[in-house]
Amino acid sequence: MKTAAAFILGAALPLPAAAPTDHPPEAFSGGTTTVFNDGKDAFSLALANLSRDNRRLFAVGNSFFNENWIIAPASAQARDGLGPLFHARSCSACHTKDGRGSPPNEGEAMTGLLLRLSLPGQDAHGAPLPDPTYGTQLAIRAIPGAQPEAEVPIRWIPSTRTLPDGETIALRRPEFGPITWHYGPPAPGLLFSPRLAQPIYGGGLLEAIPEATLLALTDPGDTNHDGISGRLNQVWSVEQQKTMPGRFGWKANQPSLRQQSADAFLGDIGITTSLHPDESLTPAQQPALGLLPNGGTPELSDHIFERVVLYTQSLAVPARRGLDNPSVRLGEKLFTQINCSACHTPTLQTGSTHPLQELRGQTIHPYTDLLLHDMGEELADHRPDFLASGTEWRTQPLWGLGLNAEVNGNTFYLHDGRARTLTEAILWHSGEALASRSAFEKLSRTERDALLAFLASL
Amino acid sequence: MKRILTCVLASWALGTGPAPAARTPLQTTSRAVVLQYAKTVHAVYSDCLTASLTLQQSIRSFLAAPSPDSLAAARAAWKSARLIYVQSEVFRYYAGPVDDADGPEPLLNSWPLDELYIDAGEGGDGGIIANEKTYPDITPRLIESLNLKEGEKNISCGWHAVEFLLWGQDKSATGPGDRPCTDYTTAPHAARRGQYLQACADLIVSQFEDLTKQWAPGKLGNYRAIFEEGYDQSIERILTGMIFLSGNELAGERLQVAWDTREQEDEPSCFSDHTCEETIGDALGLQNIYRGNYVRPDGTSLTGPGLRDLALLVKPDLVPGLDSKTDGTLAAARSIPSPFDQAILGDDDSPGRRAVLKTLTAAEDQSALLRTLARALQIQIPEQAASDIAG
Repeated sequence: MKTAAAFILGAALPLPAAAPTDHPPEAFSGGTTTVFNDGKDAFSLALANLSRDNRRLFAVGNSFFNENWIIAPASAQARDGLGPLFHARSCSACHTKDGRGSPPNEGEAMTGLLLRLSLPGQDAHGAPLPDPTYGTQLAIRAIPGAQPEAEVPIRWIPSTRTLPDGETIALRRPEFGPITWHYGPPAPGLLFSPRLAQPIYGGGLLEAIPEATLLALTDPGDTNHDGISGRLNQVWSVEQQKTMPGRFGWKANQPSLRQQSADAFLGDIGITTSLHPDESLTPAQQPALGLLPNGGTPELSDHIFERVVLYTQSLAVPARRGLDNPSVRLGEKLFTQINCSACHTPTLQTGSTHPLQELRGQTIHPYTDLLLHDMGEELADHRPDFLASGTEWRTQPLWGLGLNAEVNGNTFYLHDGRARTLTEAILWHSGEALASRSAFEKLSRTERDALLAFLASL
Repeated sequence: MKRILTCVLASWALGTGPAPAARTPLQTTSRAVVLQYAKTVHAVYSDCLTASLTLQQSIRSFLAAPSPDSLAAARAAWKSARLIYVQSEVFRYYAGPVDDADGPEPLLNSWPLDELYIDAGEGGDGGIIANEKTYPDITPRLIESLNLKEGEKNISCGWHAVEFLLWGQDKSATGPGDRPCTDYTTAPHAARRGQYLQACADLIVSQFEDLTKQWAPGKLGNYRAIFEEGYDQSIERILTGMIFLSGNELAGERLQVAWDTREQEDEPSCFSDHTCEETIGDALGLQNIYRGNYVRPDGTSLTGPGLRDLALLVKPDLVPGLDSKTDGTLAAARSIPSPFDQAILGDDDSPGRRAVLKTLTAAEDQSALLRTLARALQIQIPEQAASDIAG
């Protein structure tokens, strides 16, 4: 029950944000789509300029993103078809409050983290090769009457790093296993990659950046000798049946929010769409699971799926905060000085062709170039994905970073959620980022704090 | 305005502020509205408690002597309780007792219910009810522990669980669920099904007992005491509840989704087909707070200052619009032909679809005007996501 003290402290309501007219231009991380909210719902709001009609579609997409999918056959036929194999029952279960997921503690089952699988090699389109029994993603849950694919315990292996000024930072990395396989052993040479659920907000704006803009940021041969060699991933588009730039996901393996969503519905929840009309059961699983009832063909109609896609395109970026703070301003200078901005690009423009006109012609501050960069051995998963090598990762957008604690009540960074603080995340940067990381380590404590304050203002 | 009120409040807390006689008209009216609201909330939750006790008892009677008549009585008791409960939904969205971190809202009202998680259909063996090995004792505590939107668990208790257990799956295009009372006599797992049903009803009673205590008058340190004392913040809470119920939940989640998708069972009360009545109840709840008038099940009225009186004071030009939209949402809701799941079908010209669209449009407009009122009171209502079920 609520105590008197907690109530008097005003814990119930977030502080009201000042009206948009009171804010400097730099605060508008998403251009005119930016929303001003620094509370629990900061990642869950529609584009500030979303039309009334689109808001109604957003409400529908929101419903199907947030509500649980249930076992077929159920009365609410639009909502049934969960599984038979799945990772979570809803998008929101992992993309918590439209933010990122959390990794499990030891002894806990994974929810906000999943395991990608593959065998060495590529298919005809350049995609990773699936394991014949387990495919390209491990399903750790199943509907009653079905066995999940495996149980996977996690262990966190600690280490420390000491900075030149003597400060010691605790680090950790995950290890998985021993794995209990329920459909027989996987093929030899199986590759794994743990993947934290990505934040959803801002996706539409990223989708609206022209390909030419991203290409102009690439420098695969490092012709300017700055140590940075960003590459655009080129991936297979199932919907368009051609190869095109990838920009979503930890290895930029998804070309569009539509395809990413369809893949996630199938792989994470076991929901079919017209893009993926069949359940992803392998031949080994068909005997046990192939005859279980499903939620229709497809389980998610085009009509509703389109609204979920619009929802993922229309989640707004929250405004920057604390711009007046001198520490933030110092940190912003340092960010450029030590070259973080070489990959975490501060400013980009969206183009004029995105189907959602609210996303067009915006000046945005995502702090990403959406390109692949070699991040070194320590962070590698050794699982290539189209053009992305086993040591490359897509530059993660940094907008909204400072609100993770408020929205999700926790902070986990990098592809497997190993970093619990931004300092930890920075310390894992290597490869192309080694020079910047070393420069960070050599900053004074005050300067490091300023850089962190700047990141927290995003 | 807000800063002034806060300073005054702080100095009252220190015992050094102006006496009540020195309050401005705005302060006086705000305080009166807040006191009336608190009275109303307590009355609504008390009425919910009474109705849920009736439901609990009717379920006991049904399980003691299952028959079509005793099942019908239990179903009627569920419907009566729901009609009061939906009038309390306007008290959500500001992390009050019903939906703060420990609040019962996710346990009371979550949707969609995973039917097969609770009770396998067509004599199957899945579900909690059939699983005697893992769940040997079905108790309110167990059911509460199994209810979680994320992770391993799913929605397992609350209004819609009771509804599901009383009506069964709605497989019909033209009527509600039609569970026979033999599900509680001769069908497999009949006894455990009965225990589950009773446990859900018992849980609802205990939740309304708690809510009623939090809003009871004259109790030192309960939510009501602090709500009434901090009345300028409470106006913000009252408005927050109204704005999000009308604009986000009612217009968006409840009506727009169903209207847009034409999915027959994409309605909160899909087993009983009670959604029309509940839509009316939500709209009525909004009007109750706006006009300061709540008609109780026994026919008596609780009347006093409402938000309308505050609007008349600070922005009288808003009042005609607010009147029109608040009453209009209710009138439009009353015009939706029952059952809801058929009202949304057909082409856009059909009377049902026109009525649903009219209701959601009025609710959207109501929400927008309430935001304008908030701005006039110098209150900034944050944007908030709908479907905030997990809190």
